[in-house]
Amino acid sequence: MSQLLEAIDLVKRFPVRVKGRKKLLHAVDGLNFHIDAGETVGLVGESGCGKSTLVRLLTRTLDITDGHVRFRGQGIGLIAARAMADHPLRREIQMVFQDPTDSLNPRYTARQTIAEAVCLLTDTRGTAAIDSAVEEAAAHVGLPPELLDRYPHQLSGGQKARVGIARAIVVKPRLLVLDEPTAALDVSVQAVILQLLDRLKREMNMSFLFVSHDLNVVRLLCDRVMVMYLGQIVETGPAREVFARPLHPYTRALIASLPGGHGNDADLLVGGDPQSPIDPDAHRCRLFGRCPRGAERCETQFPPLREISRGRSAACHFVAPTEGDVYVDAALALHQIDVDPARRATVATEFERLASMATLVQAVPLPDDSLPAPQYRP
Amino acid sequence: MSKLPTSATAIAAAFARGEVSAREISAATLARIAERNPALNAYTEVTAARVLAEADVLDAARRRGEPSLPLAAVPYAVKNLFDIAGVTTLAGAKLLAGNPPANADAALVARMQSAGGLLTGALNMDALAYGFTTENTHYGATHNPHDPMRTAGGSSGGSGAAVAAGLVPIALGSDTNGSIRVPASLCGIFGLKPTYGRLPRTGSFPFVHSLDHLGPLAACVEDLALAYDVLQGPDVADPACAQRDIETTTEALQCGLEGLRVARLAGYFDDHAGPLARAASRHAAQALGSRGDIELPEVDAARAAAFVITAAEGGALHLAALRERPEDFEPLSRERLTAGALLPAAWVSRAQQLRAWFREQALIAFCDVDLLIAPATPVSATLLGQETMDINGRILPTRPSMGLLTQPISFIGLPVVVAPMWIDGSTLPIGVQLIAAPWREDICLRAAWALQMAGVTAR
Amino acid sequence: MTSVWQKRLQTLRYVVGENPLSLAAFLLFAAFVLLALVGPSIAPFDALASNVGAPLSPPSLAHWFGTDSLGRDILSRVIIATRLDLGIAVAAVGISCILGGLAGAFAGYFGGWTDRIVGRLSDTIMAFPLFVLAMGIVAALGNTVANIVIATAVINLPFYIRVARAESSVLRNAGFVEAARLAGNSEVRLLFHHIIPNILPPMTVQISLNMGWAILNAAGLSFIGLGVRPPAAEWGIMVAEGAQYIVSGEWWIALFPGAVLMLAVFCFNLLGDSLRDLVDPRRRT
Repeated sequence: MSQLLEAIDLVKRFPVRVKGRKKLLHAVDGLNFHIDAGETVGLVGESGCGKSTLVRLLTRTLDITDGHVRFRGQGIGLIAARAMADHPLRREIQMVFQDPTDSLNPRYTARQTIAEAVCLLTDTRGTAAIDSAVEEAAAHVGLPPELLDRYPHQLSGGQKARVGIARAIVVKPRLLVLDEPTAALDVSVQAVILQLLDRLKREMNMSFLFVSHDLNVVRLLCDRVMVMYLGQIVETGPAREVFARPLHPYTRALIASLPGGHGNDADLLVGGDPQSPIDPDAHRCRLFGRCPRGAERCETQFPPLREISRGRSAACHFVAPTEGDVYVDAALALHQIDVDPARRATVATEFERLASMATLVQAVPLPDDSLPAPQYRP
Repeated sequence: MSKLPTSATAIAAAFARGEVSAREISAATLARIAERNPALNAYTEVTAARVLAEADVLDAARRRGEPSLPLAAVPYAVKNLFDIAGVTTLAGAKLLAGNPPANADAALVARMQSAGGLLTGALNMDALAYGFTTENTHYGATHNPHDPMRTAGGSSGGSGAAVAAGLVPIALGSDTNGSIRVPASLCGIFGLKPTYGRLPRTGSFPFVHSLDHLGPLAACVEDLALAYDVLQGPDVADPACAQRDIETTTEALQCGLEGLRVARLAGYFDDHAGPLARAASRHAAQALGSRGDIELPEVDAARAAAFVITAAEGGALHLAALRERPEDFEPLSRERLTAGALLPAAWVSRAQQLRAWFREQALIAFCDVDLLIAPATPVSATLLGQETMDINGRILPTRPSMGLLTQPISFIGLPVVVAPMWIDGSTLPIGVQLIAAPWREDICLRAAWALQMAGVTAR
Repeated sequence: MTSVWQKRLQTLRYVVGENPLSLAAFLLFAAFVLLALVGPSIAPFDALASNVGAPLSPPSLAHWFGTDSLGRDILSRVIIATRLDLGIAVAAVGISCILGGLAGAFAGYFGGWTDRIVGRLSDTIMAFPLFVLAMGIVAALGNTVANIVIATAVINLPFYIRVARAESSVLRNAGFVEAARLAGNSEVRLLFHHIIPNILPPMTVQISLNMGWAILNAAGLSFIGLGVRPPAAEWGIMVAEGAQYIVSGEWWIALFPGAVLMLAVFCFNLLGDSLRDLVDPRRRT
């Protein structure tokens, strides 16, 4: 049972009133995914796609409407959000918040903030033991012990961010959710905090769910990435591969819009407003209307998330396993090389890269009788 | 303490004149290594006992009045893919760390020893020679002596750093797609990749049979030529060796540019070079009396073909280990090697055909010129861990792109000397490739000599 | 944990030192508290004893505030009244603040039925002119000091409920509240450890304004004859008693109690600002 967290057909709908009529806002609409032990998974999407809602469903601070959430095999979806604080699993799933200033009680010193989690969620008792746990967490996040007795308004943005992280890791959770942990920080501080997270990822045996709108950051820190759009997951795969070879039109558009000349301008989303998440049409792709590839089928048939090749999934009618994917799968089997899905996806991407090089070579017209350079010399 | 000579030529001459003993040189060298290597991580093994033993043999021979050897008392080191008797050949890989030690020296190491060289040890490299930055996760990265935060280039990073830091005057390296020339460029020293098949590869760990070359690196042209002359000669044990007679070059250096027709490579070699690299190329062209720019056809395809052959042969070489011991590979190169091993034969064969064709095009160009100039690397040394770099507005991955300018030349086995340049206003060196027709290493060395005499390669 | 107290003392010194007005307010407050505590012992005469001097005599060396119609020393009576007035105010405000604050905090945090019930209660109280309501309560329950306290407490409830409810409903969406949930705080613990401590700053301002109002309220009730009965010494009664003599020129009987009453209210208002600075760490640097 290496799956730490599993979400099955996860749904969250909010009742809303539109022009006096009662409707439902589909914030999270039938998600299926998992996070393995020790894995860092990135969750990417623009604001309004439902990532914050999803995160709160997973940390159980929000009640789910439908579907299942399993943590280490145990169903936790039905635990009421209000009851979660007292549940023994509370310490296993922790979160680092987007705005470090907002997430700290202004009347608590850093030490008190961190110690509270220790007191409430662990069996550690006694001032000395608690202080030692607090100081250990502070050392892990690079927070000098002198700053522990300061109030939030006496700390810089980066220091507050560190306190937030320390509080989350002090109880040694198995899953740490990070909700855009650097979005509210200065650019210079962002880099430092990201390095810290990278180090923590390697030092502590935790799974991370890293939520961000910044694909670049996710690519560097995460093993696997999930791309979310309007309440649904549209693509998953190893982070490097999704970045190098995006399959879903929305992912392609995200990459094309990154500064630095990645991707194709042809991949950018065409004009038009995103569809509304309120009472959406269940027979239509959510990206229809903005997708550069849109066709008739997209309007009449909803594309489910399906596996394209090992380790890569996409929710689009027009994404299919390439000949390269099929070839690589068969060739690996032939050579009896057994690789896990993430590695297989990387091999496939490298193969595509070599294939495009071979195409370049094929394109040079050579005289019919050209021979390869002699190698064997008797 | 009297100042000991530092260049190989000077050391050999001083030893011959009886001014200095091999013992003194070897002791001083070991002290220098002990002091400076920890910050560089250039060496993976220091063969102190062997150095001292070889020194004693030389001193004894001199006392007996035996004639002096060309590299007498010259300390050197070799990339750790060269066999050294009694040392396990690592080739920078965790994969090979458990192997038994080599029985005998590699052919080139034996020649260095016969010429009086003192072997100080084995140098760090990119794992299995697959890389251009010597950022080795198992044995540690090698640091650039000019800026410890930057790479020394690769895959012969240890060789580049050891010579650039003055630890030894001569080092041996290997070059498949640029692995001698890239470190020479980034560390600011001279490097020679001879014609494919010139120097025997007996007793060295291979990477790509079709493209592997071995060669020397040194801090000045006379040392480079001296080492090259010592290393030359046929060897029937290596089927890829051309078995040519020795064609010495040290005396030819004086000829300089006399009668040489020089041109600068443009097109691909400007498109994929940053502003510093292009400036170096133009400056060298001017100093060498270039007649103008020429372009070779289909260089992109040539580089692509080199990539395909590298991946295919490199992957095939390690196929068994990829299957059985994948965890012992560098994660970055492992999947690339696996993908290479799966390439269809038709693609690899076509790449070899392109190779023959591209060589023909280069030989046609050499009808009108004797020497071609191009930058060695697109940029000067990048930071350790740097993932991307900007070349003329394109964001490219650092590591594979460092060899963009070297790969098409080694692909067709032309001899190249890299000469370092310090462009005004730059704190880091960058090298230029001096390229000649097959078997004309003497022309490359003469041009390098001319640049050195003109002060172009000085800091 | 001596260091915590040292820190608190330091902040006190800092806050007081920064603003001379707050220093004045604290000193005045201290003076009133002192008077309330030790008043009876330092009063020159027995507050209830009549004819300790000539009735209706103006301020003199023997009687600094003069004497009233029954020959009682007004200074002594003013000093004794401090204890009563302050006592009533503190008790009323205390009850009101605690009950109203808790009700408002729960209402603002949980919403739903709790909010509706508390809201209705508050609205009911606010429907009446507050002083009239206080009069009614005292009249209904009986003319005792305890009932003045209850009446004053009841009519002040809506203010605390409103402040606490507003602050609490804003804070329940704050990031640190969600973070506290993740740290294992149950809903109730959240309220008491995180929400309520953070709604204290606006509450303390309200408290101290209220104190002044509560004193005035108690004095007002006594002025009209409800609540404190003679011969008890209380500022309101004394002003009432003295009111009838102003026309005839015995100004001191109403003035001194009135002045001290005014000073007390002024002092508590100033105190409110300083207390808020003391309690809210964000105001400090």
